[in-house]
Amino acid sequence: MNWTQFILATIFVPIIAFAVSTWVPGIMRKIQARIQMRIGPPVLLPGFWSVLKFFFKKRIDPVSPLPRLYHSIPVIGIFLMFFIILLTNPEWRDVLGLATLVAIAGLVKVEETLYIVMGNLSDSVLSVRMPYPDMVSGSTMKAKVRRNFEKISVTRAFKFITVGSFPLYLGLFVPAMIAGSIGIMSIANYQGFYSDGFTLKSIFDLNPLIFSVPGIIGAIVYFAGYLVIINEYPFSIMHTKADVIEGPTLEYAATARAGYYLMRETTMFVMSSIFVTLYFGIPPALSWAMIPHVILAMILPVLAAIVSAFTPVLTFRQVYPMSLGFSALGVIGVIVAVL
Amino acid sequence: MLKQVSRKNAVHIMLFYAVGCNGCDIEIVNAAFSPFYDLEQYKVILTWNPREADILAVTGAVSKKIAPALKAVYEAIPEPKLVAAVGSCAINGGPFCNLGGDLGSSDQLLGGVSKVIPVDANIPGCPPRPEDIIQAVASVIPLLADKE
Amino acid sequence: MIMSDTDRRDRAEYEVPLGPLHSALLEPFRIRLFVDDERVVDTEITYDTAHRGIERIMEGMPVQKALIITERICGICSHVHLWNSTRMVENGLGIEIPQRAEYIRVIGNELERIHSHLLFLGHAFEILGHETFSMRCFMLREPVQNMLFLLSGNRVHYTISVIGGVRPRCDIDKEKKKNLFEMLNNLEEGCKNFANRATKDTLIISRIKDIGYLSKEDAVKYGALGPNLRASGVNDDVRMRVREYTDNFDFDYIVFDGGTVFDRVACRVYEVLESIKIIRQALETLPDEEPMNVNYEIGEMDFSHSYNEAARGEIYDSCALDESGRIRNYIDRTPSMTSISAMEVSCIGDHVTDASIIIASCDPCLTCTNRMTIVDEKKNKEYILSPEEVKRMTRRRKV
Repeated sequence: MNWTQFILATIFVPIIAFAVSTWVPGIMRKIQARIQMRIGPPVLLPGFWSVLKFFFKKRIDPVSPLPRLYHSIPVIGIFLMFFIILLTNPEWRDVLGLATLVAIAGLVKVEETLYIVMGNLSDSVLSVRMPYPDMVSGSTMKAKVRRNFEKISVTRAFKFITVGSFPLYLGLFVPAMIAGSIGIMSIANYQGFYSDGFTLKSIFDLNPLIFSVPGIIGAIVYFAGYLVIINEYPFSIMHTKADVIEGPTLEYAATARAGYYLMRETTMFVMSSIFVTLYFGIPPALSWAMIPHVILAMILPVLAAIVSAFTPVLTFRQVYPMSLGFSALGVIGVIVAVL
Repeated sequence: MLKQVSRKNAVHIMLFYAVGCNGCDIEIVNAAFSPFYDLEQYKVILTWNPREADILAVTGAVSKKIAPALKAVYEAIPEPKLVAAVGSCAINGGPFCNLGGDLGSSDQLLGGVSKVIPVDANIPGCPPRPEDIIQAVASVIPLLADKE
Repeated sequence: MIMSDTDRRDRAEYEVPLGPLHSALLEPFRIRLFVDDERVVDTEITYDTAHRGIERIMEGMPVQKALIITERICGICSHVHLWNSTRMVENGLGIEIPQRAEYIRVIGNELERIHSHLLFLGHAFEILGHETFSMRCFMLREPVQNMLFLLSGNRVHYTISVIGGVRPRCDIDKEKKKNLFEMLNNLEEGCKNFANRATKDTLIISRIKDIGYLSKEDAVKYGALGPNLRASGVNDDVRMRVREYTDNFDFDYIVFDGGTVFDRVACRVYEVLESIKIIRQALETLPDEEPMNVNYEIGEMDFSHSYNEAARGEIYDSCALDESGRIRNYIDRTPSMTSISAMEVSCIGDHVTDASIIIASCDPCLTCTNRMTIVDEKKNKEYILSPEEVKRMTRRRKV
């Protein structure tokens, strides 16, 4: 194992991911704005300037039973995402046998449960603590527990973990069935990628999975799972304006809010980067392969912005059937891959 | 230097509807949310969370019932922050605190917003036009950049 | 769902308070939802946050000055409040107004109905989470506001009516007539295209169908008014009893049978198209006269009253004047108070996220809700009902 290559990759790939991900929310917001027939904000505003501005605000103490754990959750989220993108790098192929789809699925699961921890530790002024002379006027209901918005979001996040995340895992699994292995580099090698001597011309020698029938089915199912994990519009009931305002992240302010924005951006970029590695066969290697990888990684956020501009927020009445439908499509894709 | 540049390039505004007639609320929603007077192109984004906001825009007069809520939301916003009182009811109570017949004016209203929290910008009008609101918000942003 | 009070108390697990400040509420009011695993079992809506004491301010003011305050009761339905109060004074004092003034007041009322319904649609889509359609509604609404600005000089609070007729600045000449016709044509086309587009979208229809059911008996029992009443199958509109409408114009009353949120939304969309029809008829047959009658005297007036149909339902004004023309005992009653109480019943059984769209679907205008004053002639006194007493009167009986 070449130690210099390894250390260079470990340092620079997350930095590149970090830098590119500051553009992603801005691009999404600009596309949504143009669909709504207006000029939107400048492209760097939601991802870069907002984060910088929040760093310069005065720090406050969040109202929370465990404030330090609450503030450290975005940092944990960011490091999880860095770990995931490093696992798809060719230099990490032999590290303890971790570079498999099972590791990615596990780490994404941890990312989903972070919202549950966040919601239980937050108590915002907008929900139960809003001062109003209510309790004295009485009602037919006495002595009921008052639940705040963050805890309602936790229930919804849990429902998403149980039912809403099937499409994502099936979308991860379809390339493994086609390529016959769960190792990430083996899937990339199956499509014609070799990390030594990769130049821009070698792109045309690749045979991406997305151009085959089970590949397209798997890509559609993965896209539905992508919308769920970044909580974009059809599936954003966890932080909808209609009742829970922002959900588990209500008490983040100043530096912690900058951390939350960064966690969200890196999630958007890294989940799309996995898609490019598995379905196009171009992993984020620290060579010429990075350029087509970054360009292709913008496809999923752009598609997500277009879909989210045209859909309302769906309640669980509609989410359960939709998610089960996409899962059925994923199972069909697996079967077609085997045959 | 980076502090001033980043504060001018990304501003989050939050709305608080106190006791008014709704006219100013609709004009602010027109300013912030409609494609004609889109506020996002001027680098001002609408939010509903006080922990994320820089500017608090209050419409309507302040009554005894809503004063504690206004104070609690104001204290939840981290520094540096600005308050904009939109409309004549928010500035001094409007027609409800300054007109009255035999029984005097209203006994439930305390007056304008400055009776409860400190105000940095006053936007007069009944209601002010969306262009006035945008001009006022754009001219008050440099104040935000200069705070320490 | 029919449940007794004890059943409700046992089933409700926890309470979700939506406070005075919330992204789904356009005005400050307080909703407490009692929930069992995200299904609403009971609600309690408190709407006295927006109280400003309008009737108290107007006691003893000279009538020409006081009527301007009625306009500022609400920023969305401002014209109809002013029209109703001037109409009441004119009926009571016997002041004749030219017919041209009546037509211009009707045009103002229908333009207000259009922009109020389009605002409701924009707000409803925003709560549903569909920002794109919400912005399209706001875009459809802008030309109406510009037209009102051209007609009267202000986008909100237009002050079209004065005692004796219409302010001369609001008179409609050839230029304004041409602009109005052009705007109406564009608006009709835009509304029809948008309605077709929205009804074909299966996700939106699946969100608003089958929730917030209000039966015909409940609608009458709890006092829903305006489009909320007509969407539950009751064929009643105050314009059937207003002389300015029945004598001069010919239009339909929109009634739907379903009683769900979808019917309330559809009722308002079709009412916009009917209002466009009324404005066209009024513009084409506008009589050629002076807009205002300046020969009148303000003196003592016995109690007189007037009913009218605002965008949200029925409004009622009544007062008396003493010998120097000052107001005594002004009463103003607005539709949203009872409509919201009806929504308390229709929320039950639906998901928590659906509760906010149900409450918004009755188009509440909290700034219109004042206190009710009761004048009891037998006991020879008057007292003001507090909100708790009103709610107790409209609360469901034990079933």
